[in-house]
Amino acid sequence: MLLRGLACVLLLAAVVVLVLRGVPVHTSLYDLLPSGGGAATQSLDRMARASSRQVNVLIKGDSEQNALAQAQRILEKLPSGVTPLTNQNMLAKVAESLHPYRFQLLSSRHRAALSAGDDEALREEALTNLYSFVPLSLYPADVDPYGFVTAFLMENPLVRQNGLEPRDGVLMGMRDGVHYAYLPLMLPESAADSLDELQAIMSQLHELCSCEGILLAGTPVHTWRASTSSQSAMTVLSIVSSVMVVCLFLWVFSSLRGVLFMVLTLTASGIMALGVSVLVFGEVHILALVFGCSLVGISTDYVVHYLVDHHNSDDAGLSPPLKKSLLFGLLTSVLGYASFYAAGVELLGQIATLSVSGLGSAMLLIFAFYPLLFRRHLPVRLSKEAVALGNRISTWRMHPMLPWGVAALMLLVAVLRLPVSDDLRSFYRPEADLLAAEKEMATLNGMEQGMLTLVVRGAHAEEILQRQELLGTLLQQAGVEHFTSVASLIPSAARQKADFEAVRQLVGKYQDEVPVEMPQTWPGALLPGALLEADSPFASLCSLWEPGAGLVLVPGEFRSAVETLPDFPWLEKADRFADLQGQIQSWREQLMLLLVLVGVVVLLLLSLHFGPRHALCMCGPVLAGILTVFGGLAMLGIPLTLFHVLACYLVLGLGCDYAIFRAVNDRANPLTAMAVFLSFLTSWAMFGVLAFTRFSVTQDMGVAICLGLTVAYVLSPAARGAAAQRCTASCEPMK
Amino acid sequence: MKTLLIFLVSCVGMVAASMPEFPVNRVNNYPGLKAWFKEAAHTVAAFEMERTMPSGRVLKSRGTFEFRRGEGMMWRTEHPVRNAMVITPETLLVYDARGRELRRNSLKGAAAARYTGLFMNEMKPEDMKQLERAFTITSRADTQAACLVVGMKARHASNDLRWLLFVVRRGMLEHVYYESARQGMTHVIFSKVRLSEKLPTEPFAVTK
Repeated sequence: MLLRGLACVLLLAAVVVLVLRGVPVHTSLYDLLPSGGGAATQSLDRMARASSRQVNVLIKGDSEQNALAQAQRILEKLPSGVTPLTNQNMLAKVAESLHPYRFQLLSSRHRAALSAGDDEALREEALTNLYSFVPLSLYPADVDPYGFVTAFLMENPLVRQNGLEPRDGVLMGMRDGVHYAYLPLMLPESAADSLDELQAIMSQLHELCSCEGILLAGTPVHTWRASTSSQSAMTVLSIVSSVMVVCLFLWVFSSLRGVLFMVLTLTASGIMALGVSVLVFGEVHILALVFGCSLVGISTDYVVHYLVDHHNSDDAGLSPPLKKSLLFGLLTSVLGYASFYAAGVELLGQIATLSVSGLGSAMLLIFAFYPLLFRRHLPVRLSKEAVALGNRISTWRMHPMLPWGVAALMLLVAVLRLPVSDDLRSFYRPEADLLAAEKEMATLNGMEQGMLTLVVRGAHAEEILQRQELLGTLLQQAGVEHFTSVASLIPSAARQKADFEAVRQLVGKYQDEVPVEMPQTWPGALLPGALLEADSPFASLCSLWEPGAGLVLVPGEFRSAVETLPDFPWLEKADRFADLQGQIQSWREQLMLLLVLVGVVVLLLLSLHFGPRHALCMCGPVLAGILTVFGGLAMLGIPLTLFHVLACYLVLGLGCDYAIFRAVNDRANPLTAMAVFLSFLTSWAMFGVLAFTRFSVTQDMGVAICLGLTVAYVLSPAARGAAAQRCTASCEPMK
Repeated sequence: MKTLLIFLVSCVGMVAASMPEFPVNRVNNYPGLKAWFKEAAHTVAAFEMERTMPSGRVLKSRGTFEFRRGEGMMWRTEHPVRNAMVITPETLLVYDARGRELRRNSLKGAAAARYTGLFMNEMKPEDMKQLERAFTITSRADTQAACLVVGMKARHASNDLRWLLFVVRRGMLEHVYYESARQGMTHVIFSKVRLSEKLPTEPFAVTK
């Protein structure tokens, strides 16, 4: 009664929490990345976050006109909320914002001419600008006759990068004889948080760009393709899993009542787990939701054991051996998942909360409601074939130390040969056409060999800009081209002031011929914040700039030139992928260490209750299962990843259950053998099928579960009846 | 009616330096335009240019103009500065008085200059189509084909070149008017026009 009341209260509380707060599911992968590493890492993450909404469209055409026409057709029909990053007003808008600073922003050509005292050439240029039929100036020729700001912008390496030139709002270029138009598009901010919205927009864009010769690339394209295909794959797998489980239940129980109760239990425990997680964390990440809810699937084992235990029995209560097995099964799983908290990673904490509370809730529901629910539906009838199979399986014999031998062998293989991969990029394997599009886009952007990031630190913005200018000079001397930094666009205040003084002298010298209204006093420097506003065409540079640090991006092909740079205390070469690889390696190692610790704790607990000898018998199969994951991967030449290790926790939870049930019950009990077999098959149907997906994360988990679970099950007879006598001595006799 | 009025104003009143408005209704007389282009394969003229900047400042210059169909054009300014600007279908080049190249710009980036480049070709249908994507084009000749007025008006408000009008009388280019968002109104008057159907073989003479 007490348990029922508690279960009802918890379920109600979870429903209230979910109704009041909703289920805020977070989908951004960038929030999962470690935030350590200081300003450089934060800047890189901000840059990555900004690019997570950018779609790059590349239109190839046999002629310039065709490519431009296609690009304009796409621009006219863009889905709502999608904005082009380039437009016809782009330069005019920038020119307007630079107007107050038109006498202090100089191109390197003009600065060199002024430094060299070549005033006559500048005068001639001014007169040409004033009196030519087509003045090439972003301002009225009498406002900026020398064309300083026009040259500053039009000759800027950032604007002229990679031979792309803006035309009618489209960036046009030519490479290897092929004309192309390049359209960088920005998705609305809401698309970053809503997968449905992103999918809807990307579907429209894909339809719009479905003509031959048009390539789509960028993070949203990957997200859309991966999520769409994973959703369809998961739908197929879910159907296959459900059909397999239903067939199994029909074959074993000749009824679907068990399936119905199992679904009800999983749903209710899922709601309770979600309620607890939302209450604790405020929101749940999609990955935690998927992993956590999958782990709650272990509770199907409990339902299977309850059903099988009530074969030909009218008593709906839980027998003491069943209670003990279930509680020990729960304890080992909870210990495993609770250890995630020790890793100190919020995602793992969310997974732990979801799975621990879900498993606990499922157990609570079974203890509280099953005796009541099944009172009128007993006895459970196992089919003759199932009983016959159970009898057959129950006769399997195995030396209790065989699993330990297998474990030792697998450990040896793993130690000798297991490769490891913690590279974030290896976790994602995009489709070939998407890879080709990305490669082509990278070639176009001069980033085919990746990108190097240099972090320039300084006490304030001016110091960073001055240092970036110095670095820029050194990079140019080293032959580096197409590098990007805020200082490429915004000179330091010191440089602006020096340029202003030089220009004032020039203007004064030719005031009669080239009259210009120039302020007599220094109007102040153009500061980065003014030009990097959110709606500026240069807003993408924002991610390269923040108080205390500025980033300089260098094409990967200049790696060796960058290595020759002097060592400045304010200059740091950042490698975000290496940082992340280190972080993921640290998580993996922590999880492996925790797995060992959990194994030792489980062994101790079982030793305390059943004695060391029996505990060793019970732990052997699961240890062999887990070590077979490592050894098997080593033999197959598959590198060990974080997700293999995560799957080992599932193997620990399920494998311990098999051994405990076989150990606690009578050695020749065919029902226990059948229940464990059925449990193994349902787990295989639910988790093992993941091995057949194309996504590295689920595939890695599936492969690990297939290997580990199979070995843990096959070796579970080694534990059969190990603790039966001790259990029957301490429990009531079985009916 | 308005078009006719503007046409008359264009033909009669343009000699006076008053700036015309761009014709509202579009009238096409491409054959007349093409016929003039065919005759004016090589045109050399003196020009006087008057530009009224948005600030109200007036800039006056004079020099010589040379047009070679399919090759390009040259504006050689003689006063108040001596320099030359050569526009080919692909490039814009600026030279100083001594013929030194001061600047070289690809015309791919400059819409107005690129369209000028298109005009310099033989006015193929595809060139006209491209021009019509950016401009509303109108051309009209009087009954005796003595006066031809050709106008182009930008379709997009963001285009710096708002409109351009040129007047050809008896096969001779007389006036060019254009309005630029940044550079204001420009009026060029041509005189001493010499036409030839044969293109010279030597390059543009950027120095006198």
